Formats: sequence, C-alpha cells, structure tokens
Amino acid sequence: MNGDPRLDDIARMLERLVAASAGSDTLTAVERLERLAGTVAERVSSMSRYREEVETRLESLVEIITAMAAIDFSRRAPVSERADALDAVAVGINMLQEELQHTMVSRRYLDDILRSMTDMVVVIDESGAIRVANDTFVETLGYTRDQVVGWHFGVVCTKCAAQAPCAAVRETNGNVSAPCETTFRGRDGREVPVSCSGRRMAGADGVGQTVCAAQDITERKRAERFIRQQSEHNRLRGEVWRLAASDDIDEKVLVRAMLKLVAPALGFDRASFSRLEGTVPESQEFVTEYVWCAPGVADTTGVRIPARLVLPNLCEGARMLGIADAVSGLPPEVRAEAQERFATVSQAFQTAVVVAMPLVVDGNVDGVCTFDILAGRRLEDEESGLIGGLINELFSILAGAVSRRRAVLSLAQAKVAAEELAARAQEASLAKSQFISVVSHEIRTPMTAIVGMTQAIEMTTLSDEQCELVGVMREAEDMLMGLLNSVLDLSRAETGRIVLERTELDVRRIVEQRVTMNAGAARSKHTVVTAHVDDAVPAILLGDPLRFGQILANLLGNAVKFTHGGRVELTVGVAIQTPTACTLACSVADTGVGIPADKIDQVFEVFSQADASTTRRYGGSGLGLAICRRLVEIMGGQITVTSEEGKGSVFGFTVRFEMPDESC
Amino acid sequence: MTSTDPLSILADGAQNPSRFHNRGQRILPRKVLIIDDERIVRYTTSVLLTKKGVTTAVAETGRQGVEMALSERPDLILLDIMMPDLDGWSILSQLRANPLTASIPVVLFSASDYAETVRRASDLSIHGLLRKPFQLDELLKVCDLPQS
Repeated sequence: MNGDPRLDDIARMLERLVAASAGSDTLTAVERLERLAGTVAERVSSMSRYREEVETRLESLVEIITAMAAIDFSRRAPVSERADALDAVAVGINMLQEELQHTMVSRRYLDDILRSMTDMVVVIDESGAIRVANDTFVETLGYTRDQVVGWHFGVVCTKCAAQAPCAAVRETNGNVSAPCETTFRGRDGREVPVSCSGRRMAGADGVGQTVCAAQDITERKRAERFIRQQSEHNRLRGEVWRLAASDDIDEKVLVRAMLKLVAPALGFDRASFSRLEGTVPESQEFVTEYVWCAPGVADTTGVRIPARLVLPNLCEGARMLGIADAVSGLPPEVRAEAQERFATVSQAFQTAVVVAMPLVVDGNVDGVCTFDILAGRRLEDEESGLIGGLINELFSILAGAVSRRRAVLSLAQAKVAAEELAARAQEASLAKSQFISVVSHEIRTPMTAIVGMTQAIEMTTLSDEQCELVGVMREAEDMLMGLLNSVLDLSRAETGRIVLERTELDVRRIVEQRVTMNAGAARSKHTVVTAHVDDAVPAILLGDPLRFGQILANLLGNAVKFTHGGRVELTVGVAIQTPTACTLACSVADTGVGIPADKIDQVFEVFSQADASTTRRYGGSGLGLAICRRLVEIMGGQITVTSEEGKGSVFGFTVRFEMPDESC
Repeated sequence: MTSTDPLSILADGAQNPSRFHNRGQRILPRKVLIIDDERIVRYTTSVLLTKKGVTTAVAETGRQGVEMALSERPDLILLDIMMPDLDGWSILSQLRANPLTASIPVVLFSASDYAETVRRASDLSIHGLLRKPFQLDELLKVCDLPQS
C-alpha cells in the first residue's frame, strides 16, 4: 500500500461494490467496475508521477537552502509554470537568498574594514558588555573573539572597571571623545598602554551602544620613558661632573656623595661602597658600607664578601655583575660560575639585583661600589643596559676625579717636600757662606800680622839670601789673599748677596786699566795684549764698574796665563741698544794652549781647571771662571767659550748696562 | 793674578779723601792710638808705625780705647770694627760725642765684609778705611805719612 488514505478508501468502496453486485446485472457492474478500476489505476499512476516530481523539487529546494546556510548564493530555486505551492516557496527562497546575499556582502565589507584596522576596535552595549571586537583587539591582547564577546569591558580596560564606557566617553554626547590614556589587560596579565577614544551611537536594533577605538602606545610610552630617562641621566651626568669638579671636597666624601646622588635617581634601593681589605689576594675581602638606603630598606653594613668571588669578574671586564642578563650574556663556560657568584653575593646582600662597579683609580681596584635592588623587583632588559652604560660613564668620571685629587695631593706633598729641600739647601748654602765669611775674617787677622811682619822685616837690613826668602813669603801671601777673595766672591754670588752698584761707568777706561795691569805679565811671556772698543759703545753707561772690571781681569789674566809667546785680543762691541739700555758683547781671544773638547763643558764649574795638574802648572784657584759666569749672569748676560786645543780659546760674554738719563 | 783686586777700592778711598771727612791741612801725626782686640794686629801695626818714627799707644778693648783717647790725646786713631765689648761703630760715636776727642781723625780697619764697611762708613766723617791684611804703603797713605 502506498499509504494514501484516499486510495484505501477506493479499495474499500470496490470491495463493497463487489459484494453488492453478486446477484445483479453483473456484466454492467463488471463493466462499470472495470472502467472504475481503469480510472483508479490511471489516477494512481498519475499520482505517483506527481509525487516523484514533488520529491525532486523538494530535494532541490533543500539543497539550495543548505547552500544558503553555508553562505553559498550561487544557485537560484527553480520555479515551474505550474505555479503551485512549491513554486511559491521557491520564489520566497529566492527572494530571501537575494536579501541575505546583500546583507552578507555588506557585513563582510564591514568585517574587512574592521579586520584591516590597526586600531583595536570594540563595540560595547549599554550594559558595558562587549558585542564586537576586531582582530587587532583580540590579537594584541591575546584573546579569542569568542572569549571576549559578552565580557564587561571593565575586565579589559582599567579605566572602565567601574563603569563602561568610562565617563570621558559618556559625556561626549554623540561626538568622538578626546583620546584618553588607559591600559588594557591582556590574557597573560600584561598591561598594554593605549590611547582610546569612543563615540556613543544608536545600534541597528535602536539600542544605544559605544564604539571604542584604541591604539597601542607601548612604543610611544617607551620612547617617552627613554627621553625622560635620557634627560634624567643627563641631569645626573651634570651633577656628577659638578661634584667631581668641586676640588674642595675630600675623596671619600666625593665617592659617598656620588653614590647618594646616583642610587635614588636610577631607582635603586641601596648604594654601598665596599672597601677592599687585606693584601694577600686569597684573603682579600670587600667590607660593605651602605651609603644610602631607601626608606624602609635594610642596611646590612659590615657584610664581608671574599674578593675572589667578585674581583675576577670585574677585572675580566664584566662590569655589571648580578643583573641576570649580564650573567646570561657571559660566555657559557663562565656563566655557571658567575651565576654561583651572583647567588652568593645576592644572598649575602638580600638583593635581587646588584650592579657592582669597581672603582679603578690609576689601574688599581680601590673598592667596589654597588647599587642594589631588593628581592622582588627587577630591572627591564633595556633599562639595565642603559643604566649599566650610564653607571660605567659616571664611574669613569668619578675615577678621574679621584685620580686627579690624588695627583693634586701628591703634587702638593711633593711641593712641600721640594720646598723643604730647597729651604734646607738654602740654609745649608747660607751656613756655608757664613762659615766662609767667618773663616775669612779669622784668616785675615793672622794674615795682617804675617803681611805686616814680612814688610817690617823688609825694612831691616837683610842679606841677599834673606831678601829672596822674604820675597817668596810675600808672593805666597799675595796668592793666599787672591784665593781668599775669590772664595768670598763666589760665596756671595751663590747666595745672591752680590749687590750691583749703579754708577757711571767708562768702558774704555776700564778696558785700558785692565790691559795695563796684565801688560807686565804678558810681556814677560812674550805675549802681546791688544784691546779694541767699538765706536758704537757709549762713552758712559750706568752699572757696576768694579764687577765689570773684575770679569775682564779674570778673562785677561787667564788668557795671558795660558798663552806663551802669542796674542791676547780683547774686543768690546754693542749687541743690543735701546734708548734705556745697552748690552755689550765682549770677547777675549787668545792663541794659547786651548781647552780639550771633553773638558770645555766644565770650565765654568767651581774648581774645574781642565786638568788637575793645570793648577800646579799655571797656578790659580780655579774659581775665576765660575765667578765670571755668576757675575755675567747677575749682570743680565751670558758667557760662552769656544776653544781648540793647541790653537787657543775665545771667551765671549754679554753684559747689560743702563743708558744714562740724557735729561739729567 | 788677583781676581777682586781690593787694592783698587783702597786706592780709590785713599786717593779721594773727599769721600771722607777732610781734616784740612795735613799734619804729620806724631802719636797714633791703635784700638784692636787682637794682640798680633796691635803689635804688627805698632812695629810698622814705630819704624816710621811714629809714637804708638795701644788699647785692647773698646772701653780702654775711649779712655786712652782722652788720656793719650793721639793725633790719629786706628780703630778695629769687630771687638768683643764695644764695636768700632759705638766707639766712634762715643769719641764723636766728647768734644775732647771729637776732632781726632779716625781710620777704621776691618777684617770683615769690606763692601758693607764701606757702605756704613760713607755716612760717617771718618778719615780713612783699611782692609786687613794691609800693605805698608796703604797704612802710610791712610795715616798721611810719607811713603818710603
């Protein structure tokens, strides 16, 4: 059975007809029945054809609807000419499809826009629940869209915790709010700084809603912080330079002042200076003294750390010890060791971060300055790098300042020592000169008697032999007095006690006198002494005639003494002439024995005749040239010598005299 | 060779009596008082002067010298500067202070820093200066005695 109730009805009617027709005109009945049966069969066949057609059409409609559900609008529902109910349905489906297609396209368009936005966009309803969130929003914060839709916006935005949207947006009254800075909480608890602005508007359903657009300003914040830090660091640099330049503060005070200045400015909790104690490397220890502690931070002054734990790293150049990244940045083979060291250090100091900086002054480790951050806090990577660099820089300023202070100090000490030495030398020199003066006085007294008595004897009647003997005595007396006077002169010159006279001086007359005085001795040695004074030399100058004469006498005397049968030539010219002063250039040249090249540097030294035997051969005290040099120097000039052994010597000197005032 | 040539200073001083007080007409001194704490100097000077026919008196201290200047009335006084009790400068001012001795010519003789002596003496009216040790000629000249 086909299950069609009408067909069942027909079957039942047929059974009744067959039963009723048993005694009647059966033929007619049979004919009628056969006709009826034919009609029924025809009907049944037509019905089952229709049924198949309907099923096919329905299947097709189902397929189209299924495609529509999968947002596939590629096929339209077929509409037949029959215009039956199914066609009406098909037409309806097609209309729906068109409408849906239109909506879907605009929705995708919107989604595309939202997705392509780099700003985080959320739509929240009046209750503050998130209804729409774009990709940037969920991706930035690490959520999925399904998670956040339906959340109260205050879960994400710290400003909207009490009320979403926040008052800033609520009060804008349909306009876009000014951007406000807040932070969004991400999935892992991290906070993302954002700049957010919102606009309230009516939604599609007519219910009020708010669109918020927020920008991630992490980079901007970082840049701002960097700039703030830089300016803070620059301020610190300035302050440290100022400190370093204040020379009146002592080295220890300087180090402490700097630690006190730097630690709070860079966000540390404590600052210490650890003095290196002990001399044997194995037993050296750093003794910590906290210079500055933030309020409420424990002061563990007195903690001792073995130097071997700290020093090698510092000296290897890993200047930042303790910052985890500094440790991890070390080569693998020393990392474990450094970590162990850091563990020891941080345990001893109860810190999470220790920035340790050796104070290296003139190549020696003086101690270690440390900056601590207590357990529970840590520096950001970037920050630690920056701070490390800055601290490095500040410490080199500090080390420079300490080194300079020490240099100044040692210079001052050296100066005091030098002054003491100079004073002692001066005292010694004065004592020597006083001694010479006293001795000379004491010698003069008996010499008076000797000289006097020699002359008294000469007044008596003497034999030839006695005359000769007394003559030798007189000669000896003259020599002795010459030596005594030279020693006194030299002593006076060395202690600066020669006071030059300033009187009229006639160069030509002095030259003549001195040549005359040496003429006798020269003649006896067959030596010719000549003198030439240039016409440019002024007739009268102001100076010390006695000392000028003494220089000439010494040089002429020497020249005559060392020349045998030759020439001695004295010349005087003008070297420099100004209206107020005249510097004379004088020279005494001889054709005598000369001075060996290796001895010539010493001729102006005290007691330095070229050869010790010279004294015996030529006599003289050996003080004459030393006295000449000092006299020339105090008269504002210089003395030089050129000589060739066996050919002769030339002594040249300059002396400065004043010009007499013409108006007087 | 003598380097400083002290003679030249002495010669200057002796040749230019105008540098010191000129006592006017030259009178040959007959009696010279020698005031010096050193015996050998007193003796030597005395011997030399005596040989030139001059009477000498000697005093060995400053005080004695001042007393003898009064009692002996010498024509000239040879006065040493460095002496233990009274130095030459004090004696000179004492002699000058007394009218009886004020006009006696005084010759200073000294063994100490000669330049300093010359400087100090130039302010005082003294007859002459003599540096120890001295030559006979110098002694005679400064005492206005004829040279041999």
